[in-house]
Amino acid sequence: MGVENTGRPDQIHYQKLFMGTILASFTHELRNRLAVVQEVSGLQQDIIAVDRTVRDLSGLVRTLRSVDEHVGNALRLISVLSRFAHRLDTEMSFFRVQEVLEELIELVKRSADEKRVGLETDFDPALPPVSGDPARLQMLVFFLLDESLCSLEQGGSVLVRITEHAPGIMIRIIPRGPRHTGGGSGGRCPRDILLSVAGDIGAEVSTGGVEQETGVLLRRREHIP
Amino acid sequence: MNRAKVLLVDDEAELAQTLVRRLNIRHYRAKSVYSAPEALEAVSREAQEVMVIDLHLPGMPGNDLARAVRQVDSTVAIIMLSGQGSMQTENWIHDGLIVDFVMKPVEIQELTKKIDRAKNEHDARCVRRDGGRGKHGQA
Repeated sequence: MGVENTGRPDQIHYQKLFMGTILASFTHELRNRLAVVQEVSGLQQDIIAVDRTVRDLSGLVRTLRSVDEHVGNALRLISVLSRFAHRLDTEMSFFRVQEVLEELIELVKRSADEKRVGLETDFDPALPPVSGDPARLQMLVFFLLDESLCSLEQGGSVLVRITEHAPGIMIRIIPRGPRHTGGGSGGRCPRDILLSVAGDIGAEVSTGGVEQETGVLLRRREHIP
Repeated sequence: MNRAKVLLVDDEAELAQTLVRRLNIRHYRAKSVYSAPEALEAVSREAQEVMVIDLHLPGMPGNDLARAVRQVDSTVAIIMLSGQGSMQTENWIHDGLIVDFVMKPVEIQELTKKIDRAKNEHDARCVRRDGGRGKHGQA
């Protein structure tokens, strides 16, 4: 990803899909927040226009609190997107996996909600930084999450767990709950593309176990390659 | 003027409730529900004239809900609430699934104009359904 697009041609379509989905989800959420602000302030104008005075002061205070809360949420979301965008500034850097994945999960929450599938995290907060390409790691985890989200029926959940695991850091994506019948990963990005992305960032992907969890082992490097 | 009976379907509860209050101040008979199953239950329980349905409902997209609603009551006039206009929404209007769409954030004057037009369409559908015998089947 990075400043110069060094992605292989077969990855570029999926890079666009990844960025497009994140941006669509972000703008959707931001628009909803601003739409509520517009409506609650419009309602207050309606009430004042009918009453010709502010009779319901507590109602006005509730409106202002609601505006404050929605603007706060919108600003927080903008900060997340801003950090996400700046991950593209440099192709290789030191970063904390838990921060990089917190950003990603904040930005994909909406599509999980739409599928009525929960997203849970269990991140070890004390993990040391690693070196590599955080944007490419986000893309890899995004599509692995997509596979899990698509495999589950409504009411299921996906747990993302990050732990130290010699010789690096292990990211586990664990789908829980009833699966769609018919098999197949159902994800939007083929596994061979994901494996090539993983190879580019020195990660190993494996799937198995009782819960068909997917593990991403990110090998720790002592310096930026 | 007999303002439309409106059911608003949006999982953003605060947005839906606020829009309902704004419509009711303007003498519409508006209510809100927050999911597709609740909307289908409301339509089965009580005849609706106009429905405003958010396209991005959790669990069931607004267009699928619109199809399910039309199977229960083909006279309901549906307006789709969407973040962006699309070829799809134009196709749904062309196919008669919905009568109109409105973009978020909603301009209340635009919404009320569209609801009034949708109510006219609903009334015309009732007349057609009843073979010109009068409103809602009354001779």
